Amino acid sequence: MKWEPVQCRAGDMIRIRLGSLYHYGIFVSEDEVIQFGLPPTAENRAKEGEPSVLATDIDVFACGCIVETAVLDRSESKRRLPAEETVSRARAAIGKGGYNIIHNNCEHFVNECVFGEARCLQAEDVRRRWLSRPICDVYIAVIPENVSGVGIFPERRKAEIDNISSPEERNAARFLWKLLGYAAGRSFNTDLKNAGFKRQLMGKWVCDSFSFSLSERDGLAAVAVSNADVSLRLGKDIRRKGVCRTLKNPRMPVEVSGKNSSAVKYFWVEDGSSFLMGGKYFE
Amino acid sequence: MSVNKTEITEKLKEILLSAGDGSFESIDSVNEQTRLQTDLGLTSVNMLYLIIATEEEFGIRFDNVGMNEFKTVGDVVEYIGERLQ
Repeated sequence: MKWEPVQCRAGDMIRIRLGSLYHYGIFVSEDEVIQFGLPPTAENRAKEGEPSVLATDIDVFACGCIVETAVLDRSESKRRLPAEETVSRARAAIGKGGYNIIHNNCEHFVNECVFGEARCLQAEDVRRRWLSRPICDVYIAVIPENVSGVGIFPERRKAEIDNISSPEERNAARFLWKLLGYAAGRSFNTDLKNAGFKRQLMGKWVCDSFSFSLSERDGLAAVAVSNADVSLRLGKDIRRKGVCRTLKNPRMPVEVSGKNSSAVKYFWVEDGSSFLMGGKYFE
Repeated sequence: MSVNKTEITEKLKEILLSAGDGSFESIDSVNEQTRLQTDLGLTSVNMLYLIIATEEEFGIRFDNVGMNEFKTVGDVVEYIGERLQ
């Protein structure tokens, strides 16, 4: 579908651009454009109550902007309802309310009238952008004493950790996997209990829902989770318990590499909550 | 996992960073009083992004709200908190 400032006919989808969003309507004639709510200008917002489907003339619809008409491609032309039915559906909806900026807006309305399917491509595009954004989150926390083995997944990894003979190493490993569970939930809405894990030949554990990397040093644990390969290492200069959150540290003691490492965000985890470090390290 | 107000605010900061293409000078200074449009300069597309990302992140659905009903970060935090209860 292309949008062009061309002559429109009854049953056409038309739109105007207001700021960075579009307002849509069904063109019937110069005196009748049917739309869900008035164009959202400051003036209209002030005077309009709950938006409803209404008809205005083309000037009210355009509010001084350039009107573009949907020029359908071949497949869309085949799919569209006859123009008379589009007009009839639009007229039948006049007075209808239930406006919702995301789920039932002016674009849903025109698509319903033209294609019989309520869709909002603007919202779909934004949702797609959000879901496909690069994620590379690093969670850092102080390793507490006496971490229990309860709640560590997968079970096979838990059993391995329980068999570590050194109490310090066992404690750190338990905490790293608990921190991984927290990170998975927070960054990917994933419960490790239901996630698929396997161990590669070299001994590295991998998850089928996201990539991760674990590191611990000097009493601190760090976990990186990403939707692309990721690798993490705590460097030599990592500070000890209690000082990191407020310390101005000019060096970067956390090394993160991977496809999405430019999108890295650091979180300090404390008392079950995590605090975003503004995309910088503990500043 | 229950989500407290601090956690909601922190998650919103992440979304704001992403919604504003990471252009905010100091996301750490954002608090519940921060005004979305006046202080952060969010456009209507940014607001759309904020609402959709919030739906995805918190697993909630925004019903019967217009973009202009949220003036501050605190307004969004409160709305999310109510929906999560």
